[in-house]
Formats: sequence, structure tokens, C-alpha cells
Amino acid sequence: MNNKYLKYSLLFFFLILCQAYVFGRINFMGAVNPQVFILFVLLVPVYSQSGLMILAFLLGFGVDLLMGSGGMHAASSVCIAFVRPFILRLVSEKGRFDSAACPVSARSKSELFRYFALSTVLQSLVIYSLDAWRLYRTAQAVRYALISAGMTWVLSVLIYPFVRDPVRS
Amino acid sequence: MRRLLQLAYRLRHLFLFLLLETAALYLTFQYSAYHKALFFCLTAEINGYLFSKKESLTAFFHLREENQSLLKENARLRGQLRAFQYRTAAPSTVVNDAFYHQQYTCIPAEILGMTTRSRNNKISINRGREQGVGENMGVIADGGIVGIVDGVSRNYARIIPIISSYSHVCARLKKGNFFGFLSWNGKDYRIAQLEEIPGHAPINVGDTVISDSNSAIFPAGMPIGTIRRVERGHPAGFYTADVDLFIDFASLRHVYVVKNLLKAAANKVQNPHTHE
Repeated sequence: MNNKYLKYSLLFFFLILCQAYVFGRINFMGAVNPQVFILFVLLVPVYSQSGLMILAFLLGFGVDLLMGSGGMHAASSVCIAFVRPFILRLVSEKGRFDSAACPVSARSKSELFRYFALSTVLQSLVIYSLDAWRLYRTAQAVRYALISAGMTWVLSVLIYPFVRDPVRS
Repeated sequence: MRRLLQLAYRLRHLFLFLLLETAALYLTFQYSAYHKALFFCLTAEINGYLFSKKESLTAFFHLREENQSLLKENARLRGQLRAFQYRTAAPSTVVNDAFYHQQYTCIPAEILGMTTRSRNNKISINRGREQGVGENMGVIADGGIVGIVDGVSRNYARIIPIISSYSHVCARLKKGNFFGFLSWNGKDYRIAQLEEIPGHAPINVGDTVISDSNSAIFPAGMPIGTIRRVERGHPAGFYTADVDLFIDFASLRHVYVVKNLLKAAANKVQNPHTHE
């Protein structure tokens, strides 16, 4: 159990640093960055919604502190934490899981991919809407969000095998 | 009550979600300069719209005072017309703004909202970027200087008046040309403080204080007020004086935003190494 806490604590700080100093500086097309830090919110085995939201806020706030972006990352990760149970129920294959409390690592690949896809699209939409904050820039914000979600999804699928062990233990 | 508590308990996740989102949005608009500016523009537009509605309702009741004020200003301006002036033998006695080598244009504006009782007073006007108002432009009224434009949205602007603790305006004594800094101690909106006047300056109660051209914000020589009281202040060797302001902020309704057409050139001369 302690080992699990340690691994997730390390993952928490590792993803904040990676987001702030690597993924947050890609600036593809001028402003598009993958939001890989939300992988922690998607994977952490905390099934209390309130606990998960507080952790997500701290995670996003950590990224915001290092990137000087105010509270945009915190807002988007809290949003994902809030809807995580609903998304998990939505992507569950019929008859397999009725509860959102089932560990992510126990789910099939297709479930996982859909779970990542929905979450990344939602998170990117939140973050790029906040970034644009103007109605006339909505189309651009949606375009950036979809590209960012695609990049995040690909990176999440690639990174997932390396970070899934803590979930299994 | 019990049911209410049960409902609150059932919705606790939603409450926490709203609380955390509010905190995150607050941080976004407080610490990100871009979002702060956007938020200011949005609130300025909404505030301006509401104030203008209120103004259109109350303006009718002030028509008599407005007419009196306009008549006075008309009379003063007519007095400055060539046809109204007496030509003396020496042509240099004709006083116009060219004497100060500056070029200014005025944008008339109406005050939509103003505070006079706060320590950090603010004024909102119904002119913004669309009408040519920009940040750091001076604002004057019939009678003296009012303040400096602090923020501009599309159709509205916010002014930091000289009766704000944030305000520091360069001013000088009309007699003797010694200059100091005009600030406000937050006590009485009719009295400002002129600080850091050199100790050897001849200063007396009743002397006129006017604007200085150092900042290129106000035309030189705009009236500010008269000296009310003088005392040796800080730093040692300098005077601090209370100034009775000419402008009565409590009855102020119309102002002019002053645009210095030569400001860019003046800045370039003052800061030759600054790249724009």
C-alpha cells in the first residue's frame, strides 16, 4: 500500500514537471500543447469524487504555478475529475462493469482508449475555451482543442504501459 | 431543515466542484495578465452600459446646472477668440498653446460613475478605444486636471483621478516654476498634497499650482489648485503643501481626455534606447 502511495506521489510530481517543462513548451501551430498531466487524474485509484477533485486541483495548480497560467490547468483537471465516474460508466462495455469504482487497469483496451479519448477532448475543450475567452475565437479554440486532444491521446496511450504498474499493485 | 441538510450532503460533490472551479477561475483572471485585461474589458463594457442607462435617466434633472456650466465655458472660450482680444504693440503677448511647444487634442466625455469617498477613487467615462482614448492619457475638465486614464475597453475607460492614493502627478508652482509631486492622502476630496517642493522655493499660501509638462500627459500650465497650508516635510529640506483643488469632484459631470500628438516623439527623445 505504501509503495502505491509513493509511486503515485512520484507520478504526480513527475507529470507536473513534464507538463511544465516539456509538453507545455511544444507550441505546435503556435499554441497547441498536449495536456499529458491529466493522465494522473485518469489513472489514480481514488474513488471518492471529492478526494479526486482536490487532488486534480492540486495537480493543475502545480502546472499553473510553473507555467504562470493562473488557474487554467486547475480548472480543466477539476472538470475531468468531476466527470470521471460518468465517463467511466459511459465507456463500460455492457455487462462488464456497473460501477465506476472498477480499477482502470482491469478494463479492456477499447474501453481505455475511449475513456482517454473522451476525457482528453473534454479537458482540451475546457482549457482552450478558457484560453480564448472570446466568442469570435470559438472556432479556433475548438480546432486547437481537438488537435491537442489528439496529441494527448496518442501520448497517453504510449505512456500508459509504463505507468500502469502502480494501478495493478 | 433535516431534508435541506440531506440535500446539501447529496450535492456535496457538486458544491466542491463549483468551489474549486471558482478558485481556479479566480486565479486565472487574477494572475494571468492576458485574462486580467480581457476581464477588465468585459466588466468595463457591462459597467459602462449600466451606468449609461442610469445616466440617461438622471441627466434630465441636471439640465439647468449643465446649461449654466456650458454658458460659463462658452464665455471663457469666447474671451480667447482673436476678435475678443485686445492687440497690444508687442505681438509676443498673444498667449496660445504654441508658447509651450506642445500639441494636444481633446476628446469630450461624460462621467458615468465616480467615487469620492474611497481611498482609491475611480471614474468611469463613456469614451473608449473606438473614440481614440488610450491608456496614460490625461483627463481635464473645465477648471483643471482630473486624472489619468488607467484602463480602456472598446467604448469605455477608467480614470484614476488625482484624488486617488495611486495618483502621482507632476505639478509646479506658477510663481517660481519649482515643481513637486501631487498626491492625495485619502482624507478630503477637495484637498490634495504637493510634495517634495525644494526648501528654497518661495512658496506662500494662495499661490497657484499648475500642471508640469515633464510627463507629456497634461498640457503645461493647466490649473490644479491653490496652496492652502505649507509645512516642512519629508524628506528633510523639502516642503509639503496642502492644495485646495479647483475641480469639485462631487459635481463633476463632463471631462476632456487629452491626447498628446507629440507624445511618441517626446518619449523617443527622453528614452532614446527604448525600442517600441
